[in-house]
Amino acid sequence: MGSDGPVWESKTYQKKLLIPGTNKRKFFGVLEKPNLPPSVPNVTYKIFLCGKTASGKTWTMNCLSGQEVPSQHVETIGVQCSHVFWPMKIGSRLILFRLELWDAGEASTRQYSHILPACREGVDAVLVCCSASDREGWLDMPRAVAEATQPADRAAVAVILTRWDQFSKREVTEAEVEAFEKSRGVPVVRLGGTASDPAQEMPHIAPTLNFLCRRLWQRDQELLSIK
Amino acid sequence: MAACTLVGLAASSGVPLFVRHAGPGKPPAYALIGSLNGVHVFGESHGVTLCSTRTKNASFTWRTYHDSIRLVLIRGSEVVADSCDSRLLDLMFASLVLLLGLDNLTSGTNIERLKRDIRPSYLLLDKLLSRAVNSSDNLGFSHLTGCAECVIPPDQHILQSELEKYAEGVDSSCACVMMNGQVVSGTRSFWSLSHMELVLLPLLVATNTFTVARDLPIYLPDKSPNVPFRMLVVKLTGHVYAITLCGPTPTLTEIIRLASSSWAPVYQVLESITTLLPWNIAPGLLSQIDHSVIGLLLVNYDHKKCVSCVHLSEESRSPPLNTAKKSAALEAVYRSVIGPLLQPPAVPPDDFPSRLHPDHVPLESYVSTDSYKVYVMQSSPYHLLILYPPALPIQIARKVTLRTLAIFTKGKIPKL
Repeated sequence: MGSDGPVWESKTYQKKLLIPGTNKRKFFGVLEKPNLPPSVPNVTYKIFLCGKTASGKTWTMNCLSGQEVPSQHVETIGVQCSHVFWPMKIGSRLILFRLELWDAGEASTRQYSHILPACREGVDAVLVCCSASDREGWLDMPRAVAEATQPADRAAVAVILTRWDQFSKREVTEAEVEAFEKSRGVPVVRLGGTASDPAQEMPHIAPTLNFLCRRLWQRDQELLSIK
Repeated sequence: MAACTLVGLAASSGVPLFVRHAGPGKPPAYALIGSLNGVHVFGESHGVTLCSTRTKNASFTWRTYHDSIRLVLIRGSEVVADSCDSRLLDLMFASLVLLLGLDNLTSGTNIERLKRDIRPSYLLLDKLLSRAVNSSDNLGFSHLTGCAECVIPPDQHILQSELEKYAEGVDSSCACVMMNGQVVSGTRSFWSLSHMELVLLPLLVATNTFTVARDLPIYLPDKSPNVPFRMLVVKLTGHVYAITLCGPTPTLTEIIRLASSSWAPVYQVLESITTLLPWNIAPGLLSQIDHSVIGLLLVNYDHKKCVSCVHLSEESRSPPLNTAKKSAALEAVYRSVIGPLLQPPAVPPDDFPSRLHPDHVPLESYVSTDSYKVYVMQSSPYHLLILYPPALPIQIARKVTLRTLAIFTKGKIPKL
């Protein structure tokens, strides 16, 4: 109740992302988009999810788009792309963000040479995924982040730590994560589990989407000011 | 409900590669799986190839492919026809080839690597298995008929011309529009694909509904089992997909852009196709079908298309059969009549008793049980199976079946 300014207004538009009468987010085809007033600017950003097999790339993609994933891990073949619409207020303006998430299976990336260039072409952000239960992966993170940061595209880089909710399997401590963030200057997003109540699906992932959109917008402003 | 298990073994060593299970109960124990190969090898050592076995409550079918992969289908039920199970195993092997390539699959060098490479095929194998157990969330008959599962849209010519334009624009000859695992329309090259390819591609597209675009390498089992094509799938609207088989171009980014611009003008037409679910048949044709029809399956073997509908006359007065039961009834009749009595492509079998007058070829058949009647009509190249309530007199069933066949076949342009 009560309008807490930009958050409240964002939320009313975010409700348009749902299938009418349900709590499920509508999955828009390429010909479709949410019904927002035409005055709202539409911006598109391309985000590439990279990481080892079973690090949670496809899971992250589905979490962000509000779709269900097969319950058992099946390695992604080839490359797949998902569009996530997110209306959000930046400052005083409502903007409709369209995040193009690109996810390629590790084996396919190695086997077919056209996949990695296709994913990196024109990319705005690279999310390096790692499972919180994978100690080796975490130790390799500095190298993975360095590899993801290619000066040519000046993509924003962030780390996604998946399976954060599985306490018993966690092999990375909170302190290590904070130390990493401070020393590398790369934000680490801790994702895990799904909201038990389906009505909470969108509010559960909203902070992450807000963070990503704000970061991408900020990068845009930085690049414009450099020019 | 019946259970069904698929076991994949390496033919030379008998090492189990994978086990997939659908239906109630757990898959068989590891010891049993190990013995499956043992039994087969025992037969081979005596110069006998074991094809199938039936026990009190299960039936087993073995098939070996390229001396390298052995597939065993275990059915825990009273379902009879072995030829259908052999065909199902052929489809399962073809789905392995689809995602791995024939050479990679049969080279048999590294078993652990092969097991890992087969894992992505699990989704497609599970879909085929759930068809085999008549699971209600995966209705369809393409695995039985060997033809692509289709829908009959009202604006076929508009879609066809748009599709041809799109295919030309992306430099691909083989393209189609699919919805819910069924083909809405396809280019001529698409329909020239083999039976197995036409059955498997829609199922493969339907295994992934959570992405807007995909680029995956597939090996067409009959057309090019060792050279991959890129299958580009773009979700146009919530349910409708445009699929093209391409070479190195266009890139995924390009095809998303091309799809958005090519299909935008006919967005309304695409949205209206979604209203065809779950009947699969255009309302104009549906309204002509008699009210006594509660389910139907029409197959055109020449065009490699089949269409089915088990959502007809849902308010019928007879004991209600739910859609899963209707589908199971049509499937049971198809398995017992088509093959033993009527052969696709709608001609009598070779071993038809010769002492009968050659003009006496079976054209029609019916099955009558306590819960349903099914009338089967053959009119080359069609097979039409119609499900009726059990109380309907068989002469009426025959007349209605004839009339229904005419609805789909009259006119210059075939509806299917």
